[in-house]
Amino acid sequence: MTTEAPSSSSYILHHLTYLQLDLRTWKIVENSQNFWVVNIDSIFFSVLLGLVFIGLFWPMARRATHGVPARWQNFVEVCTEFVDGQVKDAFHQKSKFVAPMALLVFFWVLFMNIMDLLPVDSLPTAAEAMGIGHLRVLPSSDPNITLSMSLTVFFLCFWYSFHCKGLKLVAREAFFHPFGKWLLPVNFVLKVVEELSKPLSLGLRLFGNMYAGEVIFILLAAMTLHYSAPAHLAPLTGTAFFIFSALALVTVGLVAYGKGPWMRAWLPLLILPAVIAAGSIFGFLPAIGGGAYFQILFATGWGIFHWLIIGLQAYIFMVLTVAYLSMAAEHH
Amino acid sequence: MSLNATLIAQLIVFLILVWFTMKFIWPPIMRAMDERAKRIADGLEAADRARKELADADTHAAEEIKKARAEAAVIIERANQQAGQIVDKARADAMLEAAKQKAQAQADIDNMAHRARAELRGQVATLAVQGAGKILGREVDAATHKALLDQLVEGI
Repeated sequence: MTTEAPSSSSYILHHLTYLQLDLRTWKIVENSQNFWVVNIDSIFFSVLLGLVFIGLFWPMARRATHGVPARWQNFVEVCTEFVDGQVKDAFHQKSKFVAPMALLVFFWVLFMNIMDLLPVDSLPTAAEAMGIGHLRVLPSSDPNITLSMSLTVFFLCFWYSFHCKGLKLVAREAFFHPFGKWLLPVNFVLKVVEELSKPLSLGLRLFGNMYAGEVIFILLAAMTLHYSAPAHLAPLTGTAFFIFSALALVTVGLVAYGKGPWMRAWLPLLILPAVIAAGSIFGFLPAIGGGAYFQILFATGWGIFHWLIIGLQAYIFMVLTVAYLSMAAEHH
Repeated sequence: MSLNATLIAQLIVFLILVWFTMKFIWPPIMRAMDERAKRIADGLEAADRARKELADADTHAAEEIKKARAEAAVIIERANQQAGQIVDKARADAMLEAAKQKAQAQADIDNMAHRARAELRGQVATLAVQGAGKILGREVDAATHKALLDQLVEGI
């Protein structure tokens, strides 16, 4: 977006490039194949959305009353109860960490996935205005993030099966399970494959779904490239979007913690759509050109459909996490 | 797709968030919900108990009313009987008194009639003698006609 009318492929590549920090030199790098590199954008949004989860649930948890619950508490309780029901269905042992982890995983992944619905150019353009070259806002389309979470689940399963069953039983299941003692090596190989396939499929499923969704948004935006703004307008639109996003966040905050009917009902009803609309027009569209309207149209259509994937993938990730932990704890 | 140290960073973030959720978010919410569930259960149980108590009290009250009504009926019955007795006694007394007074009056009347007759009997001889004297134009000696006079007196 910096020079006029970049080609579609460079536009797409630009959107798929991480903001990377080399941990050995402490310098921003690009497309590094080295292991000791951190994708700052992924980690930043991952932490930010984790904090959003805490910001939504923690104040409520601290103020939770067993009396008549307020609306927000009701919402939090409905969510908690939903997760608790899912965990109780799938997990039959007593555990202190499985249910809270399922709650966290569901909402964290859900929030990460929702980042996909932000207009593809909005935050990257805002970042560019602040001098940041690349920005990927969707942590769950970074395989590092999803595989990291699924590997954590894997390690927890590993530890948990030893914790619940003891070394002897785990060893017996690993070496003698499907075919008896005469095919011991085959048993072990099968077990290893079975166990490794769990974290891989868990992480790659989420990554694949979200990456595909993101790419489709980028492609839809790329279709309207030729109507992009003159280069000197880019910082302006980016800054405008940044301001409107901040306003939207403040509004959400007021709604969540404000008092009185205005804060609860009318303010979001009036201001939020206006803020979103204004933000979309300024940030989403580099300029008011003919193709931009098509981008709104297509992206909205895909976005509405994408909600399904966003919720479903978060739900699947949570349920499988619980199921794997349950399998690790149960005797076969 | 290249894996890098983001993996480790995210792992640490994940573990911290799990720990935080497990420590500070999940337990208070569950505690509040469990406590509310318990309070609602207690409330429902208390309501059931109260309803049962109310039904018991109703039956008890109905029984008491029935008993009181029966008692009242007995009392009224007894009072009616007593009243009848009193009236009967009063009537009997009155009749007795009336009979007594009547007898008294009869006795007085008899007495007076007797006395009048006795007086009349005393005077009848004299009157007869005087009357006969006047009719005959001469003195009639009472002694001579004593037997006749006595017979007259007996006639009264």
